[in-house]
Amino acid sequence: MKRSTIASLFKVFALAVTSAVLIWMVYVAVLGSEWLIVGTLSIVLVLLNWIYFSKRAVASKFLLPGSILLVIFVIVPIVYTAWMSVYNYKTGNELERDQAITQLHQVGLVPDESATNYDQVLGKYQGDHALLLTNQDTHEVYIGTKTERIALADGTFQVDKQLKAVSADGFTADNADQIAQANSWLTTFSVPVSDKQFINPQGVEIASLMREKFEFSADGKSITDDVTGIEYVDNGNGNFVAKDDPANILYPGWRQFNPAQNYVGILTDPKLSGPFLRVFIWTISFAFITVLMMWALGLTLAIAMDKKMKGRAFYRAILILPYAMPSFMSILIWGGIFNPDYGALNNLLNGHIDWYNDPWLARTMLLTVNLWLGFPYFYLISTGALQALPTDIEEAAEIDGASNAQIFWQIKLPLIFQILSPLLIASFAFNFNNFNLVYLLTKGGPTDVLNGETAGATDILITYAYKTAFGSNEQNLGLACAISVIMFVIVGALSMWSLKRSRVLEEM
Amino acid sequence: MKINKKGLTLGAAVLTTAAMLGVSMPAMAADQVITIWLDNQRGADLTPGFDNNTTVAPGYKLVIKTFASRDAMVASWDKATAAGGPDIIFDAVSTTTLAAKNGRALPIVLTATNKAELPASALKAASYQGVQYGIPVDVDTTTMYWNTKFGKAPKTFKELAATFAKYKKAGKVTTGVCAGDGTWGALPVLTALGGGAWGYAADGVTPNPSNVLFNSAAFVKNANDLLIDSKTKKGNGLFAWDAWDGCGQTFLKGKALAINTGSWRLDAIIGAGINYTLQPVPTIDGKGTSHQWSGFGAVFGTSYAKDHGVELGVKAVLSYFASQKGALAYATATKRPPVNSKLQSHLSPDVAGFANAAKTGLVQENELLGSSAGGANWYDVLGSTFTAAFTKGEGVKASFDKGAAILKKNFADGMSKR
Repeated sequence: MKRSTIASLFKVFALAVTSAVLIWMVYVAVLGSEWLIVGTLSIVLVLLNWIYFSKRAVASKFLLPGSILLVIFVIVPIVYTAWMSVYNYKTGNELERDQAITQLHQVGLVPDESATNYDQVLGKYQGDHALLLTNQDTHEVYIGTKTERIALADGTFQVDKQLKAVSADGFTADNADQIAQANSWLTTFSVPVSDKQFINPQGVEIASLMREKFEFSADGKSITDDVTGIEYVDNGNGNFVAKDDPANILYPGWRQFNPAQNYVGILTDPKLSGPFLRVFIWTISFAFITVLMMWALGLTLAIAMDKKMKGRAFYRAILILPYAMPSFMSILIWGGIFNPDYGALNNLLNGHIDWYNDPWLARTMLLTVNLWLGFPYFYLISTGALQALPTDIEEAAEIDGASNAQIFWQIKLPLIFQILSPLLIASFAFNFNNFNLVYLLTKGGPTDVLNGETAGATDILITYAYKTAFGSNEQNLGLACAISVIMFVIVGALSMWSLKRSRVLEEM
Repeated sequence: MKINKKGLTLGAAVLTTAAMLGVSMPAMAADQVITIWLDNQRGADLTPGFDNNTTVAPGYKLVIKTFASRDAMVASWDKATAAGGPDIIFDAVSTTTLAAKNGRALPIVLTATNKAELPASALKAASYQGVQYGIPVDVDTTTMYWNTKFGKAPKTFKELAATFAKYKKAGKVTTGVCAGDGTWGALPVLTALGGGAWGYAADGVTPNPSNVLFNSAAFVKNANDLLIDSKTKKGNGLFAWDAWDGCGQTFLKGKALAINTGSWRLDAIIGAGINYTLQPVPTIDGKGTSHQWSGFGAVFGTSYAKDHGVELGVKAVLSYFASQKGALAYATATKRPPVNSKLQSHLSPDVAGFANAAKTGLVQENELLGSSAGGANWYDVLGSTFTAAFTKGEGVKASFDKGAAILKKNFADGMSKR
């Protein structure tokens, strides 16, 4: 077989596998009514097959995989987060409006006050699906169809030992196979009894007399509960609330477009704006101090290791070890070391320093652990930068009579800073969002709940956003998205600055 | 008919894709399968009897999906859609009510028999805004496991404190009573010392939010006398609240006198070779009894059951677990005390012990405990108060007064939503 034929067959097979997976994903998305995903996947499916079967789109064959991944893992989450930040997306308000109304219809269907239940036999009457019903209390027997409840006279039906009707004239009971398939019609089957009363199957053997307690207005803007008499109106923010008592809210509600709510809340709601500002200041401080400390230590070690010495290779390997170890393991080990009761540090100091419950000690601990995790990286890049420095400048300075300190502070350091500044900025951006460290070590704590604090002393914006969204049973995803958008803007601006600075340096 | 190379390639691609789909699609056609989600503990217990079961709901096959932990299950449930979501979930009753609030639970109608057999308080806990969604299946409550290595369980808290002092001095223990489930499990110690959460109205059932017992004078005195080290002014170790991963492990190592936790820790405690007796945390003078939170585990059908075309099957499964037969099968498999009190005589001694403990339980009012109108919820307030009083040594009265002020607002807010 020719190589080109094997390649073609491989291409066909690979595309077929990919297409099959995509079609399967489309099918799953259709089941979930995720139409945006359905559309996106369908476009990808068509594009993929067109590009790889076409001879004209050679460049796209190389660009497409990366572009798809960029869209899926970068663009879509950003757009979706920004989009959700302008909705009141929270616990109780997760559905679309139509879905919420459908649920409210279902919730409004309640058992009748008489609590009447019927034993039920599934079958057919006059060619249509029907129920043979026996009132469990009075033992009256009916045939229920989609249009009416027909009372049966004695002698027209047969009962078992429990007085449950098992057959009736004109009624054909379903067999076991038909009963197993009954879900397709029985779940929507309802026997009208009066304007507001229905007999609804509750399974294959039992049915209940139900009533619809909610009356929906024609324009869909209000609901009246005819049991309590309360009128609920659309509050314009995703819920029906009692007209006379807005705190009385019907659930489920829906996601309501409300562009300013979350952003204005961050700035004006004292419960949010107070902690937000404090957390924001600590986030900036944490990222700045961290980068400064890491760089200082990394550079110092790089300078020390730049000199020829015995065992330099060994020392260099040792210094990189913290970087090679998975950070989450290091963080957990450090967490144990700092444990006030059983930790090695307190044992060594023979004291009881409460690292976790004092705000400043907790912050110190966080910075220390982060220094341990991050200095090897700065050591590596500083070593690279030192080795890249032109030696002739240093030699010229020496000839001009400059001291070692002058050479370092006035020549080497500015040059290294120029080389490393984009990396320093990138590191600042990384630590600005250093979720793992904070969450694994302190979970953002300590939080002085008794003095009214709602954010922890070591919370940074990303952990604060996470707690806001997922910290309790009641989640506020819209607000967390708004906080994330603010963080994105800050980190994005820093990255832009970093890129711009890189270009400036290239021109130097 | 002439077929060119392009047509041939396209034809081959279409056929191969169809073949791939042919392999994968039948596996997805799960129209008569009911998927049940369980955490690691219930999953391990219920899988032998219920995975691939076809008799509980004739015409349907039950498929159990067990998660590595409860947190993992709840996280997956948060993100679930109709495409891969479950039809049934077993979890704490709060998951049922939260799903109802979010429009993701299936309303159900109970038969008169079910209503007669299940306590009204349990049924109410599994309902939301007056609509029934869940079937309560077990009582999540705690009792005190006393390590008999330290003699017989004390009859009074003072006796317990004396036993602790004796063994602590001998270097045999570091902890007295451990709240093995963290701040949730700390209530028995509070109530044993005359404190607690809230008082009740005259009916003995309705919480009275203005009567906050958290900082009662009796509790403050007893806590100062028994839980505080007179030299350091900090906790003396008689009470620890750092949960299963903290003092729970101390108990397993035999370094704590007792742990207050539920039946879900039974296997681990037996596995650690601890000999124990079960009883409530003793009160200060042995009169009356301490109380612990009594929540419910519930099973509910999700709104996805409708999308999956198994709504009737799901209702049949729920009906089974509401019946005596189903409730007994569940209690036997999980060793959790059942809600249905008529099953008491069928239970093993340990499970019966927990069922007895449940009688002294206070209904875990999630609206009150979960409210953070005062700034933080019950659980966080307790954590901070204990830290302030027992770790930082800021004084029992001062710390508990601050906590009580927050709780008072929470309880009032919770009652308005109850």
